[in-house]
Amino acid sequence: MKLLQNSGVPIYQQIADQLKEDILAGKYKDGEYLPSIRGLAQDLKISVITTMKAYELLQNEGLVTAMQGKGYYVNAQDSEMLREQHMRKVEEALLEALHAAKVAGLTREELFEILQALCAMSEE
Amino acid sequence: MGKSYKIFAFPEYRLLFLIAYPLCAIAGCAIVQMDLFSVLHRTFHFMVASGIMASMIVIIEIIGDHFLFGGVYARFGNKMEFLKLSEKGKSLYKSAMIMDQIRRTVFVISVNLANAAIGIIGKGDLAGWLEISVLITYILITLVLCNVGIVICRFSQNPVVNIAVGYLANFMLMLFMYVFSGPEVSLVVVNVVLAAGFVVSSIGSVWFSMKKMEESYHDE
Amino acid sequence: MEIENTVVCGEKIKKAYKGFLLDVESLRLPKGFATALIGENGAGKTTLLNLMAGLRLDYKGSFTYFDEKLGIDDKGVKEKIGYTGPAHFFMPHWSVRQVAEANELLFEGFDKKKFYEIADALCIPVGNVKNVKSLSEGNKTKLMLATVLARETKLLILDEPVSTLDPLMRDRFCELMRRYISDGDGEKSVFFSTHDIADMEGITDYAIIMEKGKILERGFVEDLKEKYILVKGEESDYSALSKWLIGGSCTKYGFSGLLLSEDLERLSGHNAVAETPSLHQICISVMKQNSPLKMI
Repeated sequence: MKLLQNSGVPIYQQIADQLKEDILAGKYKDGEYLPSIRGLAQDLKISVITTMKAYELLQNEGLVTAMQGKGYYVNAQDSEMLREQHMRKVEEALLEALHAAKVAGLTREELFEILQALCAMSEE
Repeated sequence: MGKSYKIFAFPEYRLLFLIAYPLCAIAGCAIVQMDLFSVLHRTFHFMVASGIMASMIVIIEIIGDHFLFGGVYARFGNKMEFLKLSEKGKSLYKSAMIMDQIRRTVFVISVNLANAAIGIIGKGDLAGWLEISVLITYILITLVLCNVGIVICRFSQNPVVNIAVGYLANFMLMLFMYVFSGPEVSLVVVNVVLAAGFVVSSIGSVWFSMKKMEESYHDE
Repeated sequence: MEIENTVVCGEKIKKAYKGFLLDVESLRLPKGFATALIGENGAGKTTLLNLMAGLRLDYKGSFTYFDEKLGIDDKGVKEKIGYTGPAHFFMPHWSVRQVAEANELLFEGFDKKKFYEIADALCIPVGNVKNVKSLSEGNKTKLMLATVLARETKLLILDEPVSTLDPLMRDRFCELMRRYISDGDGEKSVFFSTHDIADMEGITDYAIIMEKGKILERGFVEDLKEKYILVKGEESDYSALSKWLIGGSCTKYGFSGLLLSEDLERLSGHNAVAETPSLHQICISVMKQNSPLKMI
């Protein structure tokens, strides 16, 4: 896990984001426990409360569930929700691309062409 | 009780003060009492041996305390934190203090008795009444001076204070001996006064140590 | 966030000493976390720690410890508390070996083998020094830490543990504390006072800021970072905003200071930027706001 001290993004947010990515990528199975709060804090060299806040963030998003005295386990990610999460990511990336295109003054046709070319390239 | 003593008395101290130093004291007495001055009366040998021994003991005991309870009463120094942090600290401290008193008393009495025994065995006859009261005087005066000197020294963490008080106590010892050796002094009275002084100083020093510890729980 | 479980609870603590009054209405330390006690010299940090560790008994009020709400002299309480002081407190003429022997006799849970392992890992010269008195200040602190870490404790009360340590050792200290808390899995807690809050931010979960014997601010660090924001702006806006600024200061190039997040709207119409403050910045600003110190 890579944490940046001066990125402007709070540390707990960075942890939550990276764990979320791992969960959505299926690195944690359903029902599997995340590392213990204090264990992770030790490994990441950060305070316990920061890790706790990251886990709470994940809990609020419905990705994990807290078990009293045992830690946080990963919720079953139903495929519909998973798809939705991935869709949102695609949308975000495309929006960014659109924004860049606007700055560059590309037309809609040119944009489609680039996308098609990229699709063809990644299929090869 | 022995356990408590171990906290303060490190192995070298124990080896020195419980074994080497008593043996040296007895050996010293034996050497002095050997018939080096055969022209003189045996009482002289006994007196000389006792005197040298008493003055040595006073100095060694007072200096030695620096390595045991050095500076425990010092106001801004060591406030016995490490003892107060432990549940057992206070009781261990008290029993260590009592152990030290017992050790000193037993040691002074037994070395003096050994010295007397050397004299008796060496000359082959029993000690007279005078010599027994002299013996008691020696024992008591040594113990009283040690007790008082040690209490004074514990106010300072500086070993130089122990050395100075040790030599002062030695001087006092000589002075007392000179005064008491006069023919007009009743040794019975002296011994009763010294015995009272011994009891008060022994119990008092333990009591004072505990009082000082209680005080350390309060800032004012 | 509220404190769920407390490891130490103080109620109506009052102690007067030489014109100084320590007055803490209520003190709760969260269990399973590291709590930092921050304040100016003379704010009463050491006094508070001394009372908590049972080294002074001349105060009003009460402290209770652990889940069972026990007093300091109840059985097993001192056994579970490890304390290190601002100055070493062993007999000055003792050797390191003797310190180990004494601790073994004083505490049931003292593991001599573990002590020597820690002493070795922290590079405390065990055999090379005559006595504790001749150790360097840093080594004295390390020695106290080693005796405490070699025991089975549930709570560490550390008075200025890093002030004598070098930067690398401070980092090492933080790691030791993290491991202590992680090993305890929610059962072990640390309470330390410090002036070096920037160095300790990485292990501080809960912070208590003191001034003149009173607690000014307390809370979980992440909550404090949401409660306050750090504001920077132009000199011309300072007078309008200074009323709400906490520990604000201004030069001709601009001002900076802390603002309660709830006062964020005050910034509208002014040319100012806001960012999340570090614990260090929060502490300095809160202390500055209440300190008798003046600029010369």
